[in-house]
Amino acid sequence: MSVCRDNHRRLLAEKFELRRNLYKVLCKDTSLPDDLREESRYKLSKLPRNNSFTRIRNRCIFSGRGRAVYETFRISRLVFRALANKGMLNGVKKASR
Amino acid sequence: MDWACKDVDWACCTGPVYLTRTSSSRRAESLPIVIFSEKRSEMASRSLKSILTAAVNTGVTEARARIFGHVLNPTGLKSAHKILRKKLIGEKVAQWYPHDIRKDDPLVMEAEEKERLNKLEMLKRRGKGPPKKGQGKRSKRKS
Repeated sequence: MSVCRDNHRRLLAEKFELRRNLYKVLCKDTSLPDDLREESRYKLSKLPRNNSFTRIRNRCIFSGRGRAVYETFRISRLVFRALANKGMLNGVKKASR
Repeated sequence: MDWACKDVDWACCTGPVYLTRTSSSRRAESLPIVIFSEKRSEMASRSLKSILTAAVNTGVTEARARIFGHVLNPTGLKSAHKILRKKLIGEKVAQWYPHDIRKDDPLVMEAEEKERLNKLEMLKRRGKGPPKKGQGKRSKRKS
């Protein structure tokens, strides 16, 4: 379920990214007129909250676990251990062997 | 290597003068080279040359920026350009979860949905189904 919400946030973030960047730039540029800066600040606040990149959490694609997820594999530590022991992860073996 | 003098009033210069090295891609790095003040006349004759070189250098940097589309900021004011410089990451971020091929097959989806409902029914029969709205653990604790 949290995976569903996280996916929704990712799609929104992709959709609004360019617009968000432009608004941010417009409101931070000191050489622009004040009313334009205020307007872009207002528009930036009006964007949906779920389109922020900070709200996205890298979840495990197998189990949906929010913590201990490795970015290179996109899976959590528990699933990683299970798969690696079976030999399903290419090129991964125990360091002690 | 480009050399440029910062704005210096040569006529009343008495202390050391710092030469700065400018390059188009990075901000000006100041080099620890110092010229101490000399006799007024020598200073005046040298200053014309250095003023000329300074003018030539600024011209070169401006031309370079015009050709290659650089954003110049010689005074070093706060600029929003660094946000525009960054690459867009939205596409990569949106492709985190791989596409589930089970979603393409409607039969499989129906079977799974039936399983889910059956399980829910079993739990409800045992009295273990989800509570009504406002009767959960957290909301009871609040009131």
